[in-house]
Amino acid sequence: MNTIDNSHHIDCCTCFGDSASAKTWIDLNACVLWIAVFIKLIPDLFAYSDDTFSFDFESNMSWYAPYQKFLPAKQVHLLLLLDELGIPYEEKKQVFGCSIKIIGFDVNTKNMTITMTPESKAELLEKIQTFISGLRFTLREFQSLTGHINWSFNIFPLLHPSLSNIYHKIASASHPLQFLWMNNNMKSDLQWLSHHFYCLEYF
Amino acid sequence: MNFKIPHGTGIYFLEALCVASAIHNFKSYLSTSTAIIFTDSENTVDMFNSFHTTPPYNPILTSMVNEIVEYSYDICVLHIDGDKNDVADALSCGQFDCAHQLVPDLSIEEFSPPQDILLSIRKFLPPRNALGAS
Repeated sequence: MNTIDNSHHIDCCTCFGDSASAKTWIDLNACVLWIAVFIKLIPDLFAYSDDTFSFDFESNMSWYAPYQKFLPAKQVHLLLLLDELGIPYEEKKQVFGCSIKIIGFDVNTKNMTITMTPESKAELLEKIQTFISGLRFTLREFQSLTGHINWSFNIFPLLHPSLSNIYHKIASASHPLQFLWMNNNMKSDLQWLSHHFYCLEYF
Repeated sequence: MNFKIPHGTGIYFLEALCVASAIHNFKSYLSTSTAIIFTDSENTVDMFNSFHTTPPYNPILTSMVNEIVEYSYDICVLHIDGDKNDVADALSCGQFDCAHQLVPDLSIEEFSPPQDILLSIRKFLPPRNALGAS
């Protein structure tokens, strides 16, 4: 909601990048999921930001008329709710199968594994290396790093201790553009993290 | 004991160190890689379940993760009330006679905590002369 000259305007294209738009989005999506779980009684629904996902048995398929194809029953149930509420979505994002990407991870129900793709692993390792060899970074850059690493903890929960010293350091800063110096403890934590990243596929 | 507890460490550190020591010693005592460790320290339970703690205690967690990864351990740390954990409670107070009364054939042995943890935490501790130690 933007107020210009005392008249209120709803900004439908709330720009991502500030914390308020994320909060608005989560508030809205939480309401939709609440309806899905408690009114439509769709079981085992999981959500991570704007990704909603679940599982179903291979034999439990339903016909979804708008796409003229069979989809897992729970998925159809959720899409019908989005249709009812008038929430738009793209067909190419409504995927299912034994091996699909969920929040950037490869989830494979045949092998029962969740893995990071080699590309996303390499990308994160490169980012970590930049911090290990750098001297100082802004609070916003540190937050971007910790956010990225935190995402990988979905696969590697054991590596949580690698952020202890960084969290301790950035807790003292408040301005997004404030520079913070890397110290030896932060570097050795990140080196420890990189070492385990190289060795582990998942844990 | 053939080591010295560094100055400036509190009970939380020692309880967490005990859990980490137990994990380090699994390979010599247990044939299985799955184990549950009970402690009456709520803080220690939280630390090992969340894998998050403040920098001075962090070496305990990183050392434990190194062991878990290397030996593929599946370990769970759970809480137990002190009065239900009477043998460990007696040992922690140095009441070895009391522990023997509870379990007559109890074998009590010395152990060294993981040296990598003791080395890592030194940098977080105040200098010895700051504590007035000689």
